[in-house]
Amino acid sequence: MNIKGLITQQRLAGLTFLAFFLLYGWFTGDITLDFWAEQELFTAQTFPYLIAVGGAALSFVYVVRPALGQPIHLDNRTWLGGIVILLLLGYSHFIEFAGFPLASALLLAVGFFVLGERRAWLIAVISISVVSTLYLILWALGIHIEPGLIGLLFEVDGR
Amino acid sequence: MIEGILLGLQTVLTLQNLMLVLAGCAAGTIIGMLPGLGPISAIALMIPITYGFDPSSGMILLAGVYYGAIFGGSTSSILINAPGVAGTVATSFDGYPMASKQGEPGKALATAAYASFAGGTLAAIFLMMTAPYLAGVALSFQSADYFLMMVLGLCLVTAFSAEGEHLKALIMTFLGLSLSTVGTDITAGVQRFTFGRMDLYDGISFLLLAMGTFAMSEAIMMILRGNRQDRLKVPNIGLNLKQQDLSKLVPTVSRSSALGFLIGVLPGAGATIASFLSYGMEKRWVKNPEPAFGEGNIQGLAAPESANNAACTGSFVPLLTLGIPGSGTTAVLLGALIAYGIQPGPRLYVDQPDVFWAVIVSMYIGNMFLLVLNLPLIPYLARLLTIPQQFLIPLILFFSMTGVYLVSFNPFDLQLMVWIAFAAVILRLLSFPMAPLLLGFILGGMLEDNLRRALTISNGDLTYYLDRPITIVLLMLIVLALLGPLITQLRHRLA
Repeated sequence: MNIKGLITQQRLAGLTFLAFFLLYGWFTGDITLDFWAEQELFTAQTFPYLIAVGGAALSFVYVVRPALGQPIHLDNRTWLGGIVILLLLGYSHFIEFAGFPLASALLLAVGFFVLGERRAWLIAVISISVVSTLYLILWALGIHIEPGLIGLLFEVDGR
Repeated sequence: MIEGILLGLQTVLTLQNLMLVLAGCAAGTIIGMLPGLGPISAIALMIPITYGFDPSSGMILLAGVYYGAIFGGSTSSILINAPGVAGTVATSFDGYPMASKQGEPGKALATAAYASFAGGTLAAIFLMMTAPYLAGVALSFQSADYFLMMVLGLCLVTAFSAEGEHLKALIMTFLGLSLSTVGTDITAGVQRFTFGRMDLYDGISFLLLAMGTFAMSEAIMMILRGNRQDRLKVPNIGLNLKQQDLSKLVPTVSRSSALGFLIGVLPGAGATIASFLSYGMEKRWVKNPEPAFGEGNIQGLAAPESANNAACTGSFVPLLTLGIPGSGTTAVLLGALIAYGIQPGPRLYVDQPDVFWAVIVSMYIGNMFLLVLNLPLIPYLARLLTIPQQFLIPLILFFSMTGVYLVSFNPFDLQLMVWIAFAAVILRLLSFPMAPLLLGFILGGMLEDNLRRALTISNGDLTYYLDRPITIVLLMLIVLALLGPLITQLRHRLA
């Protein structure tokens, strides 16, 4: 038996899905039911159990005979994609501290730089103008966004 | 009916009301293009403005905003694969490949505009002729029928998958269904899969999942694919459709508009199901499509576009004739009508025919204005794709994040979206389709509600599903949809 032939990326994906649906079914048991739920035909657990069973069955069939697909190869651009994802995660944490305008301008500026733009003036102009324009449109529509650090600097509360 | 149409025309064809249609369409299109602001937000933002007008004028403005927002959402779906509303997800299947891979953004946007116009116009005509009668038909659909119709929609998900990848599509559907159960169960009021996180009590938002699985993952895939040239070749921004394209579009638009309108009439069904069903139907109907569906096929773009616009019109049937909102957007419109002191329902047709017919006629005029407004904008919108990738990709990512942030102002949602995008990229690299995930997510809540109601009504008796002709027909269609791909595969192997 060719072990290496059995362990393919598609099969690993299938096993991941199988594990997910089994865990999903497991955690379905943690859903709190009211004391009268025993009398009910359909409870908060019913639909999740159906999904868990269906999903696990399909995943099992997939593991046994996976559909075709190209294997993933890692190269330089994969790491670039990873850096961008880290940048987005950083933005999602930084926005709470720095506020929407500053965090967004930095996201755009760093994103442009990471993807190859080197003209600093262009990076600054585009990132600041996009964020400012969006902020003004939202202000005109009456949608309040916390200005964050920029607001503290200019004593603006975003209203 | 003729008197009603004339009354509607008399109401709408005043300078003020025509300007309101125009303003509504323009405002709706712009707001619809902004990530995170779909038709519901657009209408909610405009309601206070309408308080100064009489009810007919206010409803005319809001109806224009509705269509404009749907069209605006289609634009972002086509150009950057970022469907902002559920009804425009299916538009991206062929709209985005046509714009990006084939380099025909102008043709894609023009096709969407013409298909939307045709779908909305045909549906407005259907509405004029059948509104009072269709209300009765809509009432005959019960929970079991809704449940089976949604299951049919999910089974047709195999239409979205390539040959031999139906199993992957079904797995992704179940993944979407599982994500739809996160949050508070509305009926029982208990938390499900929140793991104690208050941020998940309201579940995962559709916009978050759509942006993560479509826009953001596509942007990251663009980075992974890379391009030797950092600027796309100048795309063809021409709007002209060839004669052979038009001859393909006519039957597609006719079929999809009829299907979309009928589905839109059913309360709760909406543009999403209409667009997916019409896409699936078209994919099965068209023989030897060139290019293949999912690669920028013009019929694959026109079908969901005309269906979703027709469904939007159809959703006015239960609203105006029964006072039952057919979708989230019509629920907001219902609120607006009540704010004007109008009670929609069977009496609206009799007591305030000017409002009833003005809304219907304004739909036709609104569709015309949308076409006139948006066609000249298409060459400028299409130029978005000429932006170099080092600018385009961060902008797409930024607008995706902003769209989600504007809804909840919760950084947790942004973090969740990034992780979803990461998972989506891996799944896409392994050739798992995203559309079934999104469809399963959208329909999961409604499926559960209708199944619960159906089983409660029948006291757990599954033969209830065999009692009515509608359910039997739907069951047969489901079996065909599931077995169809298997039979096709078997025939290929035996051949």
